[in-house]
Amino acid sequence: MWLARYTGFREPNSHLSSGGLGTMGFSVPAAMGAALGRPDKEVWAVCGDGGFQMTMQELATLVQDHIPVKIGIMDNKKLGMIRQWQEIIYAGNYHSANLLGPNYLKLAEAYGIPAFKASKPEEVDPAIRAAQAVDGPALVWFEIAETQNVYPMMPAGKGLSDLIERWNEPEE
Amino acid sequence: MTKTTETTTTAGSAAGRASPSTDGDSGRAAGDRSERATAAAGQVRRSHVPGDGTAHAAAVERARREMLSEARPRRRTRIGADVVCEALIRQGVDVLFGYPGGVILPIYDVLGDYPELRHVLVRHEQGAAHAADGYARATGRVGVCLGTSGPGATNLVTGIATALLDSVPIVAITGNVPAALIGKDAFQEIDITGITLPMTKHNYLVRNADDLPRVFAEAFYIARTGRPGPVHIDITKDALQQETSAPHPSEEEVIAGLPGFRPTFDGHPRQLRLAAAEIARARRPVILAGHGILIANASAELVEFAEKTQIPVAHTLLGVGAIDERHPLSYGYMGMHGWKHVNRAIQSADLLIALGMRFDDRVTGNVRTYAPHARIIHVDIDPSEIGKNVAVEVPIVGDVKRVLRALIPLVEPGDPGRVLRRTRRVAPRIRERELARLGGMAGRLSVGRLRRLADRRADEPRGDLRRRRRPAPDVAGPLHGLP
Repeated sequence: MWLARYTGFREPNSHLSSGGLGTMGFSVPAAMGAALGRPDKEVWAVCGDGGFQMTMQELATLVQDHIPVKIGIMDNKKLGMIRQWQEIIYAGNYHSANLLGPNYLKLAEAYGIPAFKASKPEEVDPAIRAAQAVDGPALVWFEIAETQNVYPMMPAGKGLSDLIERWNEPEE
Repeated sequence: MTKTTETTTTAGSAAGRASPSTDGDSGRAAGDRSERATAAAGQVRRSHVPGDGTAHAAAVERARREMLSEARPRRRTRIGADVVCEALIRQGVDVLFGYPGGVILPIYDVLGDYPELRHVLVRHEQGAAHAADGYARATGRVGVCLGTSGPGATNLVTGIATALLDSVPIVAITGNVPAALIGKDAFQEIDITGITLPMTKHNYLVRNADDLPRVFAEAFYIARTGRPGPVHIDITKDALQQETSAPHPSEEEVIAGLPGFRPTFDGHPRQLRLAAAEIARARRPVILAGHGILIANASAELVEFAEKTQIPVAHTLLGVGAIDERHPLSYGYMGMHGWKHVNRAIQSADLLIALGMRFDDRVTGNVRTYAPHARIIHVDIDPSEIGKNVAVEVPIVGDVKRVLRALIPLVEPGDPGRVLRRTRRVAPRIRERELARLGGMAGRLSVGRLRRLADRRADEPRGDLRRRRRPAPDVAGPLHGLP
């Protein structure tokens, strides 16, 4: 959602999303296919920590077949959409929204994939540049704010005029 | 020299396994070796083969070679698995994603004979289906994935369903147990065509190798023609192993054999005139661009249409990229998580021109309160989408590229700045304000900062996808069969 809202895409077929079915775990394998179909392009798989953990076994495929996909994990240590719905619609009853993840640097290292981490704004650019400089697959672990929501939001069953926005909420 | 070394080294392993059976042989071999080593002093590498150069060693080597050539005969008959590979090559497939298993092994046994086909071994069949999907979305060509029966097939299901809901052309191939065992709960048997029936555009169960050429030609044609979608081919193991001389049909033969599958490509002229009249009357129109624009390769036509009429373009989640988001008429992303100004414009519009989108509930919200003042023109290649979620005033069934080409001459040039002037000026301000808010979350890393990745990439020169697309060989036409 963040990617679709803020990136500013300029070319057809440059943003692939499992929008209809909303399949988690789509990005890494789909990026794999896109990279093989369009070797002239730099391909990024941008995913949450939840989606990534659903199909992260394909890291081995990236290495075995030398597929130069760059992976950006937006790690909020949460199932972010679930947490957002629970916050707004289910009165803050955060059941099963906390998500334990591995140390992604060590995980990538175990597969032989160069990995970089960014936890502060100033670390973002160097991490992305470092990943872009890698000849082959690379991974960037973005530790993002845990309570970042997607706004505006239209609750299910409501109309387009009933958008919710709560930009100035306190963190945690 | 090099050749000799290779021969003697490989022969050594075979002879070495046999030699410990008799002490006498070993002793003699050791003696021979030392003699030979002396004779060959000064050579780059000494042989490790016991008794190398003797008649015995040569006989062992000969037998070993014969055994290997029996395992993979140079000349063999054409079986169903060959038909599968031939068909994939004829369709212009260069890469397929798969995972081997018992009943699909006949394909893997011959795959090495077709170096044109690159097989990517995934770690889970879901990854294979998504990779085929990503390949198809990025290239516009049909993606191919491969799995075995039972768990291999069921693991593909999520990926096939994803492709169906997003209209992505993929062909999913699975093996199944031999025809005689179907229905006996054989090992790894599952009724996968029963499972994929509601989540594919079409599916096949092939029990006879002679059917494979026709089925594959039909499957690729159906997957990419009209509204694209996934097609599943389930093949019994015995069909993969049967000999066959069945020829591959031409595209004309395939079309002639599918009399019930005739998508409408050109919009009805009367509907086009009605649409032009609606557009001429509208005061607050909005274009809703969907995935159909990308599938039909109609971005240029969309921009031309919008520029001529001066109507702003909102896009769906899957319509991202239909228009350059920096184009002055690009309005932005609509729907549940869309931009507020976009949704407001839709709610106050008096005409919605929906191009290759399907009024998903994530786009409309509550349909009863959706765009209450708007009349709707709906262009879609799939007639079942018309009137499914919203009632429309002007339905146009056709390929959105051809419809726009036909519509552009019929519409009057719009007055630049007349339509939605106020909101168009507001849009960039709303965007910037929101991004500033995103960046300011207590100094923590936030999504607004990550947008810099996109900013850098936006400076790259733009390329024309159509020109870069590799020409599709043989019967594989571009999507929708358009030139």
